[in-house]
Amino acid sequence: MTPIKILVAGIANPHIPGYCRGFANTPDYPWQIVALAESDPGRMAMAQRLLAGKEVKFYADWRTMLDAHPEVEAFQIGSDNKYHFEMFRECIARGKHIYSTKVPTMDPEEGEELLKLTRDYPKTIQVELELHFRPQFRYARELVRSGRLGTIRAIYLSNVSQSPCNYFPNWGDPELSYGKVVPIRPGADYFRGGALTDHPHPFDMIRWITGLEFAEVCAVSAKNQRSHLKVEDHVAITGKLEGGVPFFINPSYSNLEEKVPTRRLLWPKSLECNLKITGDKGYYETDFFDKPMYLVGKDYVSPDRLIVENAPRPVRNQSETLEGSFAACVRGERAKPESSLRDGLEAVKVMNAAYDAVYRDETVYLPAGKCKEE
Amino acid sequence: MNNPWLNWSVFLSIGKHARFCGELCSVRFTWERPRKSASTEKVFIEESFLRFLHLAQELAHAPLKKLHAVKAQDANILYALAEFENRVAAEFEMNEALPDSMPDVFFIKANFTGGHVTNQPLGGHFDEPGSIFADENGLSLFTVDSCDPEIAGGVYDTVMKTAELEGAPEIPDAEKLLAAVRKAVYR
Repeated sequence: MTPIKILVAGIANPHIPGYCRGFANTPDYPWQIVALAESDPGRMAMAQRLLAGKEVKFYADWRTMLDAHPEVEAFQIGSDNKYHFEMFRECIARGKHIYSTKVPTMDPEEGEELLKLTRDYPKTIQVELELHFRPQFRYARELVRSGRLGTIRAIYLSNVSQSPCNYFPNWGDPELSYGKVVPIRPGADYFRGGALTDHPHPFDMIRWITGLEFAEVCAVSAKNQRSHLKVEDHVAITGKLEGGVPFFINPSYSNLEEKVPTRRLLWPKSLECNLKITGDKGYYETDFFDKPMYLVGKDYVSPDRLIVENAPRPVRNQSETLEGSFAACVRGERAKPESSLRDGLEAVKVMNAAYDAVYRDETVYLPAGKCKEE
Repeated sequence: MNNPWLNWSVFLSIGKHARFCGELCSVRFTWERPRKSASTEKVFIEESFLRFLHLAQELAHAPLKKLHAVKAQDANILYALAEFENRVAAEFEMNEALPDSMPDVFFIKANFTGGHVTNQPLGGHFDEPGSIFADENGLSLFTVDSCDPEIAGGVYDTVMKTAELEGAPEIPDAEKLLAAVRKAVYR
């Protein structure tokens, strides 16, 4: 399969190095990175290291990159969240296929504007909500949608990780991450833009699996485990979906890492993503690390420490991967992306409701059902 | 009302090891039981939950400041969030509506400024690989190992089916290994 050509704008998002490694090391990778733009010299050096040996052009400014490569149809937004909106707007004006890292924007007005701008947009917009591509979560959706679990009584999903802010310090900057500086609660000395902003997946997954919208949200945010952080590292959320189904979400950075400027785990498991669905006919539970392997290596990225990793999984069809799905849409082989702009923005609505619930110390009610896919 | 859970070894262990881990920030409680073990709603809320809330307060060493809770209709399923005066947060996942094929599970995970103490397994629900499907007929553990759910099966089935998908490589020195096996086993 011929890979699609793509421009990468920014490596500020901690996921972008993974795409660079994929392109650099995977023979049948569905993307060809033609150029990458990054304004920060340190991050640019990282990108050049990751893409060494590949024919990739590098730019300090993403608009210059766009001007220099009008023939490239696809554009990946990998900057800090604050700059996503202007990148979206520019790419829409130029008619690009757009792949956005996981939060399109945290600003509700910008979100509305993006939906207006992309109404009847003829190109693909995919938002990076990668859990859609994990078979154990796809299977959960199948079980629920087929009725095998019966009527859903409750759903629980954790998305607990280490903090990336030591090795991506921009991720701990509330303005870059959330788009503006908003205290987590009145008078607090830390701000929105941390773990909750980083973890849209549970909000998206619960909608995607159940087909139900969020109706009410209450939340608490504990004092930070990491006192140096300017953004929140803990939020726990509960409430009801439409129909009164209770949900629980924990999207926190509750698993500690070493305080060094590289990704080095302290708690041995980088990500706990436990899904539990209780129905009146059955129960399903799964974890992101559903094939755990235990590793200690003196030269491993977290040296001399017990680490949990996932055993590899066979990939039968590249079009069912995160990158392959987007490439298939760009080539016209697939009608719709797996995770759309609207999916991303609906998750953001609930995330902001959770922030508001913490700030106002009260339950926030959402117009459940009103925002269903048109 | 008394609280027998104050003598629970997991709770005691967290208290014992807390001094190695800095300040407590958040703590998560998991209480899972099959329907056959479910109590009345009143006992579930006013005794079981209350006792776990008390454990949280004991670990937080501060009075309760606020409490949010949502309960499923007609089932003993409760999610709750507590915040204490010192900004320690407690999360509660309590479920007594699991299929009868599921065992009891009680976990605490305590997150500190400088460490963690927990009895929660690192991998999966019971330290097992894969996912769980349970209904009144039984409990299945399996790995969904491709984008096609139908491959789901036991560990042996999954390995064999994956090999079928990818093609199983030949063993280049099979004869030599077979001779060694025969010699070792049938000597």
